[in-house]
Amino acid sequence: MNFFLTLLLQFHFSVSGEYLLDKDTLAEYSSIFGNLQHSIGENLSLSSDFILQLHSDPSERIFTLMPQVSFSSSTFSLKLFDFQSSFQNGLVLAQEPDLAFKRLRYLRGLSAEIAIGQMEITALTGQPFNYDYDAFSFRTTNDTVDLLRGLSFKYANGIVDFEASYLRLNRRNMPEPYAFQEIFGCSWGLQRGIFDLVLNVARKWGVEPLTFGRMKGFGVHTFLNTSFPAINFSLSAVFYDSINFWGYNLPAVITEKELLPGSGFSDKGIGFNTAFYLGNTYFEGGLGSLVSIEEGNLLSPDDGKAFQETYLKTKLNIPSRVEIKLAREYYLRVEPEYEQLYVYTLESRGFFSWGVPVDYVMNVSFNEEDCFSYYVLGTVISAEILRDFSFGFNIEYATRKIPRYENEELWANLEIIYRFDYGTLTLDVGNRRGGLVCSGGMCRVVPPFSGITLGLNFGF
Amino acid sequence: MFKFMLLLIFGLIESGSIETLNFGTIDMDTIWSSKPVYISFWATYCTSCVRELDEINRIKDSLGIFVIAVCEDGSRKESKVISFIKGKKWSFPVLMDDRQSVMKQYGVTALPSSFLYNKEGKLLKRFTGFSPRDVDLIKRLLEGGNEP
Repeated sequence: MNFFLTLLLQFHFSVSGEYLLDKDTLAEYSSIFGNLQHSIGENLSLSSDFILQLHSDPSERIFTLMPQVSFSSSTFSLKLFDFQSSFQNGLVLAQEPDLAFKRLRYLRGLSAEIAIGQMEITALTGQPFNYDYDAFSFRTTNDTVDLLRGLSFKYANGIVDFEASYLRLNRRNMPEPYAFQEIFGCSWGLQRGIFDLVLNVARKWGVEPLTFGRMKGFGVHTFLNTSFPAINFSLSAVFYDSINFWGYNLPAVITEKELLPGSGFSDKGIGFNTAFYLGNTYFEGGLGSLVSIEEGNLLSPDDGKAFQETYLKTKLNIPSRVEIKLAREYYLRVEPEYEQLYVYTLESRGFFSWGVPVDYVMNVSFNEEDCFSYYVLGTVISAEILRDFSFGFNIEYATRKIPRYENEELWANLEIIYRFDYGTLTLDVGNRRGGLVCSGGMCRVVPPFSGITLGLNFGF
Repeated sequence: MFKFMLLLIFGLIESGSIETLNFGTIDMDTIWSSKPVYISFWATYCTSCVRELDEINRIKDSLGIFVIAVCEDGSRKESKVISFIKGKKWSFPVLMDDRQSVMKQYGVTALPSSFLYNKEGKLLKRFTGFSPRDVDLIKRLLEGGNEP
């Protein structure tokens, strides 16, 4: 009896799914991403992530399992089959999931970790594979026979952190069968009193795919935070020169929008932000600039300085109820057809009680593109009319038809959310411009869409 | 036996030491059985999560609860999270769940999600999403009341 009780209590299941019906094409998109996990005793665990996708287009149907067997004790852990790992906060290796954008990154192989006192050593070998969610579908984004082997050493004593790591990639599908790339680095962290300091450095070596020449890369990310009782300052700087390691690392980004102009190939920039309270009012300000330093070449002359962003944000939060943001963003060649885009945004969000809790977001942005300019006005209002039932209405209007949004100028949708202990159920009807949407107490990334969406998040 | 049962009920951050971003290493064995515990899964991009944690930070001392915030931003945003929580002056420990292993252990699929345990380690309520009404419900549950 105790055995079965133990089995039941150690069983975990979570699933996140959605069904979409496009009103124009009547195409159906349904996908589920979930995890099933079962512990045997205190040390052994069997688990599997899974994707089930049943679109009306048969070529998009997927059913895949990412199984994992793991053994862990206080000093040793071993993972077999599909696992996730990162070295040096993603600068050397970032095969880890990104929940906000449903980017699922795995290694299929073996990972072993030994922890002795304040030291930790990780060794891994595996074939990387990714599933990215884009346009309502999960897709494999690197169907390769690449092989990664890595080693990491960590030391942390609460004041000083140190990590050294090494990663080697063998690409079996390259013309030169034994070609390899390697990246190694060190990071130092110091937490002392009011200071937090991080220095994260990496160096890449390898062989050029076609010319067989020598490939070099360098990356550094520094961060300093100093926190006084009344005010907090942070300063970050990055310099990434050809540090992208075939997409298996993902360097940190310093700007508000969290975009890397050169995808980590060649970016440099600096960012600053401060936050403080004045009475009950919270202020936050930021300034960041990130630019690609990659130079164009004969094959792709447009690669040089592909993107630039600067922003300045002020946010004040009067007794936690109202937030006002003023931002200025400048994009240079954000998309191939646009040379530049300026966006000025004024946004207010907050909540109040009007018999029932009501959330709202109102924003106005002035967008200046190459040949024309326009305003976008947006409002989201959601109210929890019944306990655990939220009703939300979202409307956005642009003062002209915009090519990048399929020449639409008005977007409106109605959303009903039911919250229960183990998850949420969502119904959404209308058309959406896309982006990160928060309403009814929930946040998620929503792609542009016109039709009906049913969503379920469930776990125990 | 008691500790073993706790292990079965709580999942991954139930015992031993956990490394936090802002409070160093915390010994969870001393936390359980001394205070009610509130575990919240959040991310910096999730405005509802931030609002929930602002509220929890405001009331946690009066309720006498121990709060742990599990951040799902991913390891590459660790610097941003440090800056964020220090700016917010949140006075509870925040840990990074880089590979979402804690999240999976708790069966969490949406942010914010929170778990309220009483002093004896019994799960009183699991919250998915955040509503201002939840604050009153937390108070009522900790006082031994039931859900409306």
